[in-house]
Amino acid sequence: MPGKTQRWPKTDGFAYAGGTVTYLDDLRPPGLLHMAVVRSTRAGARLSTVDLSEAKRVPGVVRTLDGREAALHLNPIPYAMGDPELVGARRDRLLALAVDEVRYAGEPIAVVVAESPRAARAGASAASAAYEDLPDRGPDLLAGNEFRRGDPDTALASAPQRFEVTFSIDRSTSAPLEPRGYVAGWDERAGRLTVHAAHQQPFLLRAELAEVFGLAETAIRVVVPPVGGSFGLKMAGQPEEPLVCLMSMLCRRPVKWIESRAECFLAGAREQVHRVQAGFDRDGRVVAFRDEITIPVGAGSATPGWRQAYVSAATLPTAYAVPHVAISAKVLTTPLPPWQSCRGYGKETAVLVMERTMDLVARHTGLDPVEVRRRNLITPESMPYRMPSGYLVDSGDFPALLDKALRAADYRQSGAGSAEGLDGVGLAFEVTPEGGGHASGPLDGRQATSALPEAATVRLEPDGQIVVLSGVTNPGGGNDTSLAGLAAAELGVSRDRVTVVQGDTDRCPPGTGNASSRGTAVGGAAVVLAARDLAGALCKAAAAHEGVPAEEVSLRDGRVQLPHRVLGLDELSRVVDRDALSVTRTYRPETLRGPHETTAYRHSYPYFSSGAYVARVRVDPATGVVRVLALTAVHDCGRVIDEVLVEGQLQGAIAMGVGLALSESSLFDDDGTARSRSFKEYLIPRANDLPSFHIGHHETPAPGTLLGAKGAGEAGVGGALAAVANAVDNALAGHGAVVMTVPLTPPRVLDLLYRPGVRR
Amino acid sequence: MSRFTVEYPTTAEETTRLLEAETVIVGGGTLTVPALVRGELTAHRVLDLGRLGIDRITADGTGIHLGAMVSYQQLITSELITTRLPLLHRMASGITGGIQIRNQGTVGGAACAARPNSDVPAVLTALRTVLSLSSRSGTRRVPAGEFFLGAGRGDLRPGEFLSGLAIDVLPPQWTTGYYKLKFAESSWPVVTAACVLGPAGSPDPGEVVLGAVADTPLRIVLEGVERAEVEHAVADRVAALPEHRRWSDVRAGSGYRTRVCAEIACRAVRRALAARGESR
Repeated sequence: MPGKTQRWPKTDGFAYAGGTVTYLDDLRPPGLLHMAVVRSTRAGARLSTVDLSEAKRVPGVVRTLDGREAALHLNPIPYAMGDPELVGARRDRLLALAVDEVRYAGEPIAVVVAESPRAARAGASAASAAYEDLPDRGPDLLAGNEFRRGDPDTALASAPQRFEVTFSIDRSTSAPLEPRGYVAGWDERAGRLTVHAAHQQPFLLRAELAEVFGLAETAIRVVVPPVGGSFGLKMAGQPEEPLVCLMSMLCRRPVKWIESRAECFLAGAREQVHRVQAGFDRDGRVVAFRDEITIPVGAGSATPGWRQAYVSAATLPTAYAVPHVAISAKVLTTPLPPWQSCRGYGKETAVLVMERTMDLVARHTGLDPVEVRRRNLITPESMPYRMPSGYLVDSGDFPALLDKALRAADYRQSGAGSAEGLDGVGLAFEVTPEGGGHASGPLDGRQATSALPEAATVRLEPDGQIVVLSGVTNPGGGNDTSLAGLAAAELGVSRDRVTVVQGDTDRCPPGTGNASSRGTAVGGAAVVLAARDLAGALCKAAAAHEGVPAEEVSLRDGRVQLPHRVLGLDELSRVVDRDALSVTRTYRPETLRGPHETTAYRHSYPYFSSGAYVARVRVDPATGVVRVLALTAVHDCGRVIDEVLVEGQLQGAIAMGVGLALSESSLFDDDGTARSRSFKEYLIPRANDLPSFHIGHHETPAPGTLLGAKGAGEAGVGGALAAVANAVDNALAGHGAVVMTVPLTPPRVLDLLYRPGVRR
Repeated sequence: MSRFTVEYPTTAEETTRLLEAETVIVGGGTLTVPALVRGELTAHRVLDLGRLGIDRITADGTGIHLGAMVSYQQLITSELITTRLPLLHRMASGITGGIQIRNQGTVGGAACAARPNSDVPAVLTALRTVLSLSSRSGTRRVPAGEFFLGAGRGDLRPGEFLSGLAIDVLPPQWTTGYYKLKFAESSWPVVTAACVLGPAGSPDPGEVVLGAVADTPLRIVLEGVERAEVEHAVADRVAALPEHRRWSDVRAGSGYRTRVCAEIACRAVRRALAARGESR
C-alpha cells in the first residue's frame, strides 16, 4: 500500500502484532476446570454404548457427561439466523451430544471435565464407545432451491452456440489463527450464567443459551474478548456452546473449552458440483444459463453454515444480465462434519462458476474474455437490478470497475510459454451480496423478512472522553477503529479520545455481532446517528448554559466552540444534565425496490460490493506447480470509511481466494475420518507463496445505507479464486485443457496438461 | 493420551542405562512433542537428549562430525558447513518453518524419524553419512544408505540412540546440488533430489538420491550428466521399484511422484553442474 502511511492505522494493532492481546484462552478465573470433547470415530452408525468409566478413573477428571444425561438438561439447539423453512430446508432436532446414533466421525458423544487441559484430554482419550453398523442411507435431501427467469429451455435450444460443463469445488475451511473457545461460569446463588466466548454473535449466543437452558436472556451475559479471526467459524449454534455452560452448572465451577487445531479442521464448506449449460450468440452475449447444483453440506447443524448452499445458488448469475436462467440446487446432508460458515458465505463459489463460464464463452467465440464480460455485465443504468433469485443489486458501475482493474493490471492476453513455464492471465468479476438477508424471492405468501438493525450508544464521560458501545463485534480486522473514527468525526474530537466497547451483552446495545460485512456499513451508521445526536445535544446544552444561540455553538478540536470562548468537553460534562450525555440510536439499512416493480419481495442483502480482479500465473509444466506472479484488485465497497482497514480486509480475503484456487482442500478418508488435521495437511498460502497485491478502489455509494458504505470482508475470496483459476486455464489453454476443478493442486494440473490421447 | 516421566540424561552412559527400559527419545521434539500432546504417541518414559551436549559441529582431517542434536539453524550459520558441506547447508536453508523450528529441529532427530517425505534422509544418503548408534555395548557405525529401512523405520535397535553423524568432505572439484519440490511454503517436501557429481570428465559421474519417491531414499548411479542420461537412469530405477515401496501421502500419490521425479533429479543435477560452472 504505497503512499498510505497512517499513524496508528489500527487502534489495537500493536497488541495483536506484539502478542499482548488477551485472547479467550488467556482467561483463567479461580477454580477453572477444563473440558474436552469425546468424538465419534464412526460415521452413520448406531451408538450402542458410551463407556466413560475409564475416563472417570483418569487422575484429575472431575465430571463426565454423555448424550443421555445431557438430554435431561438441554433443549435442542435452535437454528441460528432464522427458521430453516425460510430457505426451503427441512427442520431437524439438533442435540448437543449424540444419543443412539452418530452422523459423522468427529460428532460429540460425551464430554470430560478435569482440573487441567491435559487431564481432560487424557480422560476423553480413555472414553470408549460401541457402534453398530447402520444400512447406508446415502445423502438426504436437506433443501431444494430453484430460481428461474425467462424461458431457459427454449433459449438454450435456440442459442447459436452452447456448451455444457461440470465444475467441482473441494471442501475447504476458514482456519482462523485462534480456534473456537468458551469459558462459562454459573453463579448458582444469583442464577446467572456468564460466558466468555471467542465469538462473532454474542447476542445470538445469549438467545441460543436462553432457549437451550430455559433461562431468561437477562440471566445470561456473553462477553467476547479480543478475537483472533473468525471468518464465519465463530457464529452461533455449535454444540460445545451449551455443553461448556452445562458443565459449569453441574460442577459449580468455571469451565473452559478450547478447540484443538484438529477439531477446528473438522469445520468446512464450499464443496459443490455445478452442471452448467450456457447458450450464447456469436458476439458472446449469454442468452441462457442453466446450473444444476449438488451441494453436500455434511451433517445437519444449528449453525448457519449450511445456508451458504442457498446463497451460492441465489447469487447466480452474479454480475451478468442473462435473460433466461434456471438454477436448481439440491442441498444434501452427508456423513461428514457439518458445514460451518466460511468467508465468502457461498458467494465465492458462485463467482467462480460464473467467471469460468464467461471464459469458456470467450474460448468458444474466440473473443477476448474482457469483451465477453463487457457485453454481459449488468449496466449502471439498470441498477438497482433484480436477480432471478430476488436478490437486488443495489449499485455499482461494473464496466468502469472492470476498465480500472484492466488499466491497473496492464492487462494483456497471455497464454504464451516462457523459459520458466506456461504463463497465464485471468480475469474475474465479483459481486458480493452483503449486509444480512440471505433468504430472497417474491413474498408471494411466504414468510417475510426484514432488515436487521444495529445499535450504538455514544456517551460523553466526565473526563471528556467518548465511549462508544456498539452491537457489532470485531473479529480482529479492526472495525472498532472505524467506529471510533466515525464517532470522533461527528463529535469534533481526535480518534484517540474515543473508546469503543463491543461484545458484551450486559453493556452494549443489541446487535448482530460481525456477519455479512455489515460492521461498519450498518453498525457504523448507528454510531454516526448516535454521535450526531449527542453532538447536537451537547451544543444545545452548552448554548443554554452560556446563554448563546445554539447555531453559534460547534464541537471542534476536542472542545466546545462558543462565540467568545472555548469550553472543554470535561467542563461541559459537569454542567450538563447526565441524561443528555448519552445517546443510543438504532439503524437498519433500507429495503430498496427495483424500478417499476410492483411485486413485493423479501428483504434481502441490502447492498452489493463489487470487484474486478486480474491474476497472472506461471505454471511449471514439469511439476504442475502454479506460482501467482501478480494479483490486481479494484474494489467498490461504496464509500471507503478507512482505506487501510478496507485494504487489510482485502489482503486477507485475496490470500484466502488464492489458497482455495491452488491448495486448500479438506480431506477425508472413505470412512469419513478427517485427514486434514494440521496445517501440514491443509495448506494455506504463506506470505512467500503470494505476490504483493495491487489494490485500488472505485467508490459507488450504496443508496440504501446512511454512509453510502457497503461491505469489506467477504469480498476478495471469490474474485481471487476465480481470477487465479482463469489464469491457470489461460496458461493451459494451448494444451486443450479446461479448468473445471479447484483447488488446482500440482497433480491435478499435470493431469490436465497430459491427459491420455491429447497431444503435448 | 498418556502420563509419562521425562528424563534428561547428561552423559552417554546415563542415556544408555535409561534406554534399557521402554523409552521414547526426544531430539529437537518438533515431531514427538506435538504427537505426545495430541495423544497420537503414547509413552511411559520420555528421554530428552537436550542436555547431553551432543550439539557440536567439529572437523578433523577428513570430515565433519555432527552431534545428533545439531539444529537446522546451526547448519545454516556454521561456517564449516557452509564452506565444506554446502549440500547440507542448502538443505537446512530450505527447511519449512520459522526460526523457532529451525532452532529446535535437529538433523539427528529427522534421521531417526526416517520420514520419507522429509529432507534429511536423502541428503544424508547422498553425502554417504555414517551414523553413530551408541548403546551399552559400544558404538555401531551404520552408513546412511543402510540405516533407512522403511517409512518411519531406521536401523535403531533397542537400547541404542543416535549420538552423532560423520560426513567425509567431498574431494576438490566434486560438487553438489539440491532440489526440493513442495506445493506451498508450509508443505512437506513432495519429491527431493540430492546430487553429488565428480569432476567433469570423471569415469564416475556421480549420483542422485531421490527422497519421497520410495519409502527410503532412492540412490541412482549416473552414467552421464546429460538430461537424457539422467532421465533414463531415474526411469530405470523407479520402474524397478515394487509397488509396495512406492511412497504416497496426502500431498500426492505415487503416480505423481513417478511422473515428476526425473525432472526433479535433472534440476538437482543442473544445480550441481552450475556449482562447477557448467550450465545445461
